[in-house]
Amino acid sequence: MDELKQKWAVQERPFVSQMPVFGQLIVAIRTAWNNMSTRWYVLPLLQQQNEVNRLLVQQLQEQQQMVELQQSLLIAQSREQSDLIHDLGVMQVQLHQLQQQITELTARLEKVSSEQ
Amino acid sequence: MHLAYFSPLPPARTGIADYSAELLPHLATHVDLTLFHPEPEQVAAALRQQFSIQPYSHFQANRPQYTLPLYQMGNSTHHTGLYRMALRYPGAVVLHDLVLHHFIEAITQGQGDEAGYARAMGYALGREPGWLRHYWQLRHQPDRYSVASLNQILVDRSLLIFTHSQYGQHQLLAQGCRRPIKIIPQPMVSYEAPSQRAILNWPDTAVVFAALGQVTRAKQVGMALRQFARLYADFPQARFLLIGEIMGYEAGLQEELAALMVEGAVLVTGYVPDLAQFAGWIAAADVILNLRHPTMGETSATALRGMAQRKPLIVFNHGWYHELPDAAALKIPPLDEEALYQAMRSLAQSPEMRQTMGGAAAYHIQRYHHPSQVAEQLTTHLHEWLINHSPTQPFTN
Repeated sequence: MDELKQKWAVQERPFVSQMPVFGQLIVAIRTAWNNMSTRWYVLPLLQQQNEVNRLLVQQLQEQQQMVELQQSLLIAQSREQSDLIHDLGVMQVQLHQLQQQITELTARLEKVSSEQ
Repeated sequence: MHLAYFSPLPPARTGIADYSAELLPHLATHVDLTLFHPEPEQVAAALRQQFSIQPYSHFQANRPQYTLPLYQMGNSTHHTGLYRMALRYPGAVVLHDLVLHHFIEAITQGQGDEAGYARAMGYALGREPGWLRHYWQLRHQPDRYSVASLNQILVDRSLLIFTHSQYGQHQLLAQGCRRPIKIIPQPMVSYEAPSQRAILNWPDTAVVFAALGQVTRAKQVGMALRQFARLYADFPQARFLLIGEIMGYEAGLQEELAALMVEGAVLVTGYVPDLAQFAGWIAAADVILNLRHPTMGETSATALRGMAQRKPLIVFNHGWYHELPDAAALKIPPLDEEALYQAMRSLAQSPEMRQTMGGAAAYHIQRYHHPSQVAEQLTTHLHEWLINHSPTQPFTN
């Protein structure tokens, strides 16, 4: 996404030439011809493409944020689930302890009853 | 107290199965025990005669009969069934390995369950902003194992965590563990087994270095052999034993031995099926090398076995190994080859040093690692936890 944010805007590039002596002349001719014949046509297309690119990057960013948000919610739920299962585990142990105490008390009551 | 005990059991090829076999008779003197195993009929006959061993389904149907479950958890697929039970029915967990990443990876990604792996990673990394991008970059990186331990779900659900070292306790606290953590030493008994040295046909004056247990790249056997080769040039009586199964680089090992020209001075035993025989091989050694790097916070049962048999150790000074007594172990900076050579050389030169360090090692094991002490400590911690979580005051009158 970082790379996309850097590269979404398509930009005009100036003509260049590596040719010695005549290079500057060639660049000037090509630039002049471009200004006269194609620039007026290509520039609006470039602007339109840039607008589409900008919107796409914005949409992708929003989608990514939504996915991260949903994942965070799921993880938060998983953590809550873990805490609930832990608490249930504690209660299971306590239930066992209570059952043992009830068994012990019942035995004592039976003993007292039989003695009376 | 009636414990539901979940663990790999012999003959499973894992140190935790041996651990349980050593601990159980002592634990049984303090508490009632029922063992749980996915296939009870596969468990070693000696244990089946001593204990009631039930399938997991029995626990699910009879949960209220047991005071609480106790899980012996490690970083291998031997623990798949009990891990799922520990998540569903929380109990006390002995965390033998702090890092469960390899295990979680194997039972999720390894089974085609990408979402399960992502969920575990999300649970571990999810508190950091931008974690999803971090996960995506990390998911195939070699350092993912050290970045995310993936023990968090198990730890969060458990009632009480046992670890074998202060290092383990610090690591758990650093990752935000909210459950009580107790340190119990790893139980260790000394096997008095006849030495296998006679069958080696090595000279009586030989000084035998040994690396124990599964031979993996993380045990740095290549580094040990390189420094052994240097030592061998000066001490032709030096020998090297690789006691255990070669895991995943048999060909590489043979190439290394040939390149170092020490083939005649090195013996590879392969997998040793029973503890008595394993002890016999340890008895044949003079010095034990335990050079694990990276460490995943594990306690080395093989290092303790060596110590129990009066063997001095050479270890890297990190993780649990840092906590070993200085009198029993030469601790060198991790991956420092020169320091390893010097340590090997000093022990090869001095029988007195080997004897003194071996004595200190055996004393340490007898003093802190006897299974009866460990069983008592474990039971005391469980009792304390039960008292602290009692629904009412105990009926005393």
